[in-house]
Amino acid sequence: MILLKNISYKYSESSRYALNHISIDFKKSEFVSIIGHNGSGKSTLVKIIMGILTPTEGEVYIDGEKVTEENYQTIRDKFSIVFQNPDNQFVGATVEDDVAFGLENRGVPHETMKEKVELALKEVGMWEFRTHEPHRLSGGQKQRVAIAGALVTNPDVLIMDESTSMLDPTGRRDILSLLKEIHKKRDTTIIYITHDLTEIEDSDYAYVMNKGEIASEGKVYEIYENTDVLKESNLVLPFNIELSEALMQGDYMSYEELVKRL
Amino acid sequence: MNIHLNNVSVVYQKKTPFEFTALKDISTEFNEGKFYGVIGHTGSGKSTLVQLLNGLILPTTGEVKVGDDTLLPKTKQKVIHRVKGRVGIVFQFPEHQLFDETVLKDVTFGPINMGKSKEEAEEISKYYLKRLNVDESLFDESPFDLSGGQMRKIALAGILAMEPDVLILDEPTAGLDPLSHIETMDLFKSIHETLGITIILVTHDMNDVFNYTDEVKILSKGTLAVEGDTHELLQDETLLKDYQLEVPNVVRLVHDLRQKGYQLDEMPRNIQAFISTYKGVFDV
Amino acid sequence: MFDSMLLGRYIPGDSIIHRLDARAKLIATAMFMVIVFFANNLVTYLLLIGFVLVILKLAKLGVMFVLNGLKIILVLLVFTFLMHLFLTKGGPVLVDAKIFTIELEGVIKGLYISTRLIMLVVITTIMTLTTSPISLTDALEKLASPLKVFKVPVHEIAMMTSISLRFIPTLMDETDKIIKAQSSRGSTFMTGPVKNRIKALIPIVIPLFISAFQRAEDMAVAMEVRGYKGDEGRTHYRLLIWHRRDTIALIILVIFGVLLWMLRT
Repeated sequence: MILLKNISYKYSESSRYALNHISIDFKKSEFVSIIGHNGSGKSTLVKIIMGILTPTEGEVYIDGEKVTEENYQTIRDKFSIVFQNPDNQFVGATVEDDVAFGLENRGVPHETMKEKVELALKEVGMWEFRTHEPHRLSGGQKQRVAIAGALVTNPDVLIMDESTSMLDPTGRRDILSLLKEIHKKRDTTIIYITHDLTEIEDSDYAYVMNKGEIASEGKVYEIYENTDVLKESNLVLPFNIELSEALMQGDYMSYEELVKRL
Repeated sequence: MNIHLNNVSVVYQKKTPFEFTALKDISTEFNEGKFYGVIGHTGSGKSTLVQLLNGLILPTTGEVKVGDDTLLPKTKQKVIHRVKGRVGIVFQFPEHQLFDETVLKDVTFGPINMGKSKEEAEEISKYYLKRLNVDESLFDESPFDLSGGQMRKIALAGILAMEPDVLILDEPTAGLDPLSHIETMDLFKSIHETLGITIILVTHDMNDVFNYTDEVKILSKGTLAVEGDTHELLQDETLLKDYQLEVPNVVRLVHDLRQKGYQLDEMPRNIQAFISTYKGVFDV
Repeated sequence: MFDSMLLGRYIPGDSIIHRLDARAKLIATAMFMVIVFFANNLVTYLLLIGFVLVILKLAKLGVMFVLNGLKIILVLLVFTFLMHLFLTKGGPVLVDAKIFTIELEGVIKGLYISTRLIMLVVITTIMTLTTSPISLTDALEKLASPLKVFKVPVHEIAMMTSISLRFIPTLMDETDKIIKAQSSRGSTFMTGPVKNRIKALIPIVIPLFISAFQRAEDMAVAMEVRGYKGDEGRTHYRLLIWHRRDTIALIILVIFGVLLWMLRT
């Protein structure tokens, strides 16, 4: 689906490479997480996937097609992205206006637009808030609206760029379970960027990034069991991992399982 | 220095269609040297409560006694100014309040406003910057060239340099990554322990409340619902559920294991303490 | 501190005035601005006040509530009144204080002109209180669209306006937060000599600018990623629908205007 081939990137004002020979093959319909501490290069990676930055070295292929200056505009329509700050991506004056924004830009006829907005808002449970203005919503609700606005154009890939990091614990869990639901219903590829190891539990596959490189990759339990790499990457172990490391020789298990086994 | 609230209510935008009662008839106290947690669901009035304590918001009715000063609905600026010097607030993303050309100048802003001379202010500022492990070579740098974590420390130094008796932390870790979260909370803990400042922590994070605070005040819909010993109250799962608050991880773990028949008498404050206390109990 | 400011605020509701098409309300407000100047005697001024009171009633807004919002133009009102009080001459002399005189015409003129000003502000306030900012921008875009012929970037201006409007509450919150943070550090921009007050604004303005630029940058990226390419090929989610009641409302206003014109002296 998305293939990153040997990507490197250096910001012009910096001497250090922000990304160093990264190769990733994102498969269709997968729920993939990218975890890394601040400055690990994960945001740069997202910008390259989205075509906001052009790699210093390496190539990006989308559906087998190489991304170039000329075609990235059309390719970009296959993606939707939800950013970190819920306030700074809310374009519309009300919830429904905001969800409609992507459709308006694509010239979707009025009647179809009405239907799609309604469906998308119902999917994220925000239909009854459709006339609300953004400042009357909680952070979690704003991110739900952002997700509706992302899904309404029916993208192949949904990128969540640290979209839960500014939310309180309830808001986070809420958004994660919504995503799980969406992933079950649609065959959308989800790329979930985070600095919080507790949030990757339900991913199909995960990459740990550190200093512009991929420190480890694998199924989630493989990532969790490799605690040394995680600590080296400045990540904080979820408490169940910490417990299983101390009490169960490091075999990964969920909290419930852990309690059962003890 | 102690703080007393007597029958305090706060009403916003009185006599307009937007009128809204944020706090209703609150009476409580914050005593010297303790670490308090103020918790409650979103919109319970937590932020309003702590802003009363340094005069950012004045009570609509009732009184707030901060040491020898009393804050009333029509208290004069002079008194409020004095109270601000004694009760400091660290808001969410404190690094967003930095503005001056150099780190040192920014930190001296507070002490100079409080009437210190430039020399005195610089001396105090340097002391607190060093305490927070900000390297001396950075003092003349622009704060905007530094990393987020360093900016946060500088903002914090700017408040500590006012040498307040009470430090209020209004959701200080919201939006931080887990590592910075731990580092920031540990920093507050050491400030509390070494400087003996009273700390009032407003947060959603029950693990932090359980780990760090001595006493807790639970707000609900603008009223003070429950207050008391943190260790006692946060072990009460029914109570937490009633106020839509999360159970701290370590409490959940100990309760689940007790249910399985383990004899765990002591309730540790956090997971690390749990591991070191009970490591030998489990034979897997 | 912004509590009593009503100008530019919107209160959602379901009154007949709320339900009028935003274009109708814009046109009506413009017409009213002209009609106000027809009034020049007691009868026409009373009619004018009566008319505005009826609209207030129809919009389900309280008189005192709206008048409260006039505080912001109070200085201007007092100034206008005093100007006419002292400068307009004619009629019996009411006060003779050597340096100045106050004559009856001055009192009448002062009252009339102040009333005119109040009516103008009240009507505009009613319009913004009953029309959501987004409908207003839409209406402006529609009404101004003929200007596109002259290469006026009508769409861009409307888009900018609607995003600015959407960000006002966010930036107000932000300002409030920064003021609170700096005021906790003992900043006193509300008291003291003017020079100090201006200096005390720096710690507020700089953080505010930094965050506003950050937001603008984020917003630009978000808009681009969501496929925004300007007006071309764009459709609209909101449609303004002109009902018969809109035509009727405008006709009533025209009749009122004519009536006032005939009763003026």
